[in-house]
Amino acid sequence: MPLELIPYHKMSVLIIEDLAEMRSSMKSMLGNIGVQHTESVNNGEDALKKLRNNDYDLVFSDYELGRGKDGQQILEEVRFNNLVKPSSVFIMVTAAQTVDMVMGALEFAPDGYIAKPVTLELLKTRLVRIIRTKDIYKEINLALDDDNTEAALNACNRLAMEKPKFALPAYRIKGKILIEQERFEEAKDIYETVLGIKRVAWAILGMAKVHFYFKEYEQAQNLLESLAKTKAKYVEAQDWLAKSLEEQGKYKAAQKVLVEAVAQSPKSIRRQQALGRVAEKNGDIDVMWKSCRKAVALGKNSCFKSPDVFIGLAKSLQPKIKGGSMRDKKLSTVEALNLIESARMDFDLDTIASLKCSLVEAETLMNSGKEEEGKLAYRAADTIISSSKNLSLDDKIDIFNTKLQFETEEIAMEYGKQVLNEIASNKRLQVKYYKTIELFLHNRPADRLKLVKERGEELLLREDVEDALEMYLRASSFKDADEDIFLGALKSIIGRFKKGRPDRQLTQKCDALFKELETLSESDPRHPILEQLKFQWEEITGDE
Amino acid sequence: MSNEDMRGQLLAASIHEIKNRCGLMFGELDSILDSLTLTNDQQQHVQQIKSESQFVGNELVRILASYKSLSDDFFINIDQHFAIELLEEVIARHTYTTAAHGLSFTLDCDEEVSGFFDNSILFIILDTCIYNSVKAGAKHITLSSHEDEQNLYLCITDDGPGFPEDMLENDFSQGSISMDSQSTGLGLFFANKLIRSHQEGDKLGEIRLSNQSAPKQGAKVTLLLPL
Repeated sequence: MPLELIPYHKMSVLIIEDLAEMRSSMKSMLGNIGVQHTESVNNGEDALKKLRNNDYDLVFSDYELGRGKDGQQILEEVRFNNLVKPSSVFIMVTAAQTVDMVMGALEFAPDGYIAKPVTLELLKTRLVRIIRTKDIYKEINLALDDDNTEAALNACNRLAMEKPKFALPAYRIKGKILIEQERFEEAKDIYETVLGIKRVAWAILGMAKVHFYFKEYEQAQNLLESLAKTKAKYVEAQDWLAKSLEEQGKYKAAQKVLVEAVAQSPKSIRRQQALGRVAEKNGDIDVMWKSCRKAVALGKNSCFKSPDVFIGLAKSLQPKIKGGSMRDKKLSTVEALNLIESARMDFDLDTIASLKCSLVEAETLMNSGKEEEGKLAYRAADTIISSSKNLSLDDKIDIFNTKLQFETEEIAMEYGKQVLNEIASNKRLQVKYYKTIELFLHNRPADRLKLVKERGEELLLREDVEDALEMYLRASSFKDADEDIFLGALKSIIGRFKKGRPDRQLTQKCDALFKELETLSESDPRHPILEQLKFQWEEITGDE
Repeated sequence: MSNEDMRGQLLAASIHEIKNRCGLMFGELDSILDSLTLTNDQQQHVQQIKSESQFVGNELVRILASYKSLSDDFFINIDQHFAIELLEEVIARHTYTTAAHGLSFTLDCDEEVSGFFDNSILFIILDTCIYNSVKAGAKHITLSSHEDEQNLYLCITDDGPGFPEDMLENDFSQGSISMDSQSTGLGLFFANKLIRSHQEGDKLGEIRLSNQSAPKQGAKVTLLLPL
């Protein structure tokens, strides 16, 4: 389409830009090339409101919008909810230094990028190019505007045939439509074809998604890991990698992937939700608290908000409510109760979610000293427990945790033993189970120490050094930690090194532990063990 | 972290900061300059300032990218791109250079020529080539592109004096640089490093230097990107 034929004067344009100066400069440049109708907003929330109520032919969104949603999140909501017609043009305006980061957008890509500083010359050039390119996909997009999937797929095929240079982008659109339509077999064919031509990242991700939907999680994982090795920076691929790991129960690995992804782009609500979810599975309250808090904040006015992070945040506030300063305790209690209320008011909760809500409510009240009210909330939860099926073992550990606080120890432990039976050999759940008891015994140090020692020996006996190490390291900071704990910690560190997993930080920890044990008298029956450990440690460190 | 690593990190962080601050400063400067009514002569100085500030900004981006190319956390996003889209944007971004140095561009590229590369990396490489031409005193630059079965070719030809003989003889990809063309050599050394991150099978991207044959004169840089 030649430049003079682009009907700028008929276009309705939305500018999303937080800086007033940039907004007016953009507007005057657009006016200069003939645009007559522009509207502008200075934040993502207002942008989405406008987009919901109006049709725009052209949307410019700044990537960096200060507080609140960034351009990528706006785009995700726009695409997810079809707020901008497929035939309209969405352009991301980026600072030069962020280009390489957003360029990695594979799933929710804009029609084009313009990097700052935006001059009139640049705007003209880029706009003509982006609109002309969009024009090549016109047939496909018009069919999509009408929700006519078959016509859109046919248009993709035609484009690939008629303009071979546009075959890859045509297949890219086709694959996306097919996945949306859950036509995974056909999507697989497309991605196989593309990967036969060129191993482009979006096709690797597409193929991984097909595997994911076929429940072939390991294959999905392998593909996504191969993508991560290509030095490309595709955060979305990390999201899918974490999902595939999560489905396989590899929660620690999933958490690691998500922590990296969140560091790269912290504003994605669904990424924070996923991190909160796996951190809960891993019993990592700190990470859970951080990510749930972010997800709740990001979820305001977002179509992706979910009750899970509200409940999760209330749950992860418990340590503060129980053991924080008076001020922390007060603030966190109010926050937790508000979150529970919001979860109930703003969402249509299913049985399990309402059970979780009641459990957290009971815990919050109990921990904040309102025992009687807590009991009432617990009774309400208890009626749901007995009638709910399909409770996961994670849920059951949560229930066990609440029972420890509200039932007699005998009744609670009886329930706990049943749960432990069901847990069988699942190591992650075992760790979580014992951590729950350990926390419960917080005010009974002698019993807690006894539990840790027994569990530690068991773990070392079956050479589960990772879990043993985690527990012993935690226990070595107990006030009443004794020689047995230090020896256990040493055994697990040395065991870990022997398995070929050395760690510089642990070396320092090891030295500190030997120092703690210097006072162990030679007549102590445990002294020979210490000597043996010293010998093994020297062997290991001597190798270096 | 070794001292060497820390030294690198320190420099990179500092350059990053300087780049951002310069960006802010140039933005402010632009809005002041735009609000003034100036004589033609003064306008020419303004163009010079804008051109120089754009150069500084680009140079810092280039240094950072070159620095990153030496480390492990170097990211490269390769996808299919159309050459014309890249080349016309490069030209549109150099309006200040054009105005300040009396430079002109010719674009010679079919609409459907495409290849597989990282857009932002190619920007940096093309910038390097354009600034080299300007430094050498060229007044006209032609950007062109074509493809065959193996490669996408991007060519930058100018009407300057051409590369000195020793630069054509020396293998600049090894980092050997002659004293009189130090910055040119070093820029191309890193540009070469950046382009070599484009790989297809056992073929790597590469840069070829030549001078145009008589009666034409001027330097020619050819970028090869494997298909």
